[in-house]
Amino acid sequence: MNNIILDNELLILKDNEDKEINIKKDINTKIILINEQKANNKFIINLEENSSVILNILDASDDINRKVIINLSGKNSYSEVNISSISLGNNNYIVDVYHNEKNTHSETNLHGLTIGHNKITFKNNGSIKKGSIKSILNQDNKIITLDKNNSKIEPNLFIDEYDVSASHGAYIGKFKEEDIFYLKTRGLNENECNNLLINGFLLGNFDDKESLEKIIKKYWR
Amino acid sequence: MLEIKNLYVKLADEDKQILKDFNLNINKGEIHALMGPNGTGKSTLSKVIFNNNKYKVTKGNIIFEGKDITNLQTDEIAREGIFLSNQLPPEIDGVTTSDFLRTALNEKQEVPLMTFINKITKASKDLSFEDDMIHRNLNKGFSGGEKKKNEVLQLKVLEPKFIILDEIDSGLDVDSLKIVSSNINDYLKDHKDTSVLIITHYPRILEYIKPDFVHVMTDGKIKESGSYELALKIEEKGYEEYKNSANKISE
Repeated sequence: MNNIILDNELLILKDNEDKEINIKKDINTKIILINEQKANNKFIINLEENSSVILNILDASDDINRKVIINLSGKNSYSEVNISSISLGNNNYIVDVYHNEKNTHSETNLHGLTIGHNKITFKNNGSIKKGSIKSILNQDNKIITLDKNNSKIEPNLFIDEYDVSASHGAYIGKFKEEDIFYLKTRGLNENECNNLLINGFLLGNFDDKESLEKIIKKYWR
Repeated sequence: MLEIKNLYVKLADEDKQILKDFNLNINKGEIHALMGPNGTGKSTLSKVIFNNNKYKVTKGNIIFEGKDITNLQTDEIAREGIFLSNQLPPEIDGVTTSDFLRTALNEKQEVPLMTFINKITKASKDLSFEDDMIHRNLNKGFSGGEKKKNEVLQLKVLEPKFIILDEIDSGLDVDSLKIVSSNINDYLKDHKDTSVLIITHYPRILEYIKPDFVHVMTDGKIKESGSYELALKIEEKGYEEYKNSANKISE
């Protein structure tokens, strides 16, 4: 496993090797991975006091087994994990977020899109250890199935402290009919509605939307 | 401009009649108000005009500028120049008002980017929107008033020929109601041929956007038609007298 000590603001990952990334005290960083290959890997990210990480992963592939472990081990550390996955086969994700200190905050957004009989599984585990008071843990898990639904979401919260805030949501299904109707009442046809909704759904949390939209178009169009 | 003839509508997936022999004729430049108690089919009518697939027209026609639009697709109807301001605009993640409107406008006609920016910036300013509102996710986290203002912003950018305002005043405080109404009135001053159908439960909005005709609807059809005075009568007496009454025309 590659071991990286991170003191930069941005890390762009180029491969799917296993990695352990340590984010030093007071460092705010963003890690980006755009992947169109098969993958079977594990990322471990350890955060020290007052540090933060935004991890953005966009996968478009037919066979992915990815595990992400976040250790919020420093006071006031923050993690945001945004995984957007287009499944062309069978994509599986396990995300474990551990709140090991006071005032830690995690936002985990797992969004998936399946076409045809393809499948995605999200297992999203959030743990707040005893003593990690004032911690905030939020999960948002959604899979849009354009055709058949073979997908699964397991949102799990393991909370061992009273003075915390935690929430999770899970949705598997199609885009809401009322959203599509609304867009159509402005003159957008079915295909344009889907383009807008898919881009928004997969890239809503990402910054560099333009280059990422090209990847989405490649598989959706 | 818009003619609804002998319209019968039921729910698509069950045998429940919503509109029964509904008739309405709106000419160019006219403002009509459709009033009635909750659950009488007013909002359904707006969705039926846009061929929402939850409803099925079993008889009758909807004609717009001489063209039968009863069976057109929703987006085709919008591109004919009809605009629906929704009672409950949905919140859509990841889609900004700006991106969405640009796509919608280009669907009608290719518009240069600067023209679009100028248009949306002016509309946004007229409605006292904060600068970043148009770049935020569509209606996400907006207050009730901001959602309604966003509907009017879209109207001003898309420039329709026929406007349906479905409960535009619900969720609006007095200040927001004044801003929304004055923006619609300004639009109508600049677009004299544009017609409006105001769907409302309460007469309050009609104090700000004065209708030429008022219709009272109960049980899926119009029971009485008249002038603005009819709205004042409703405010005073309510809808009780219209239950199970025959059709009538006010003086």
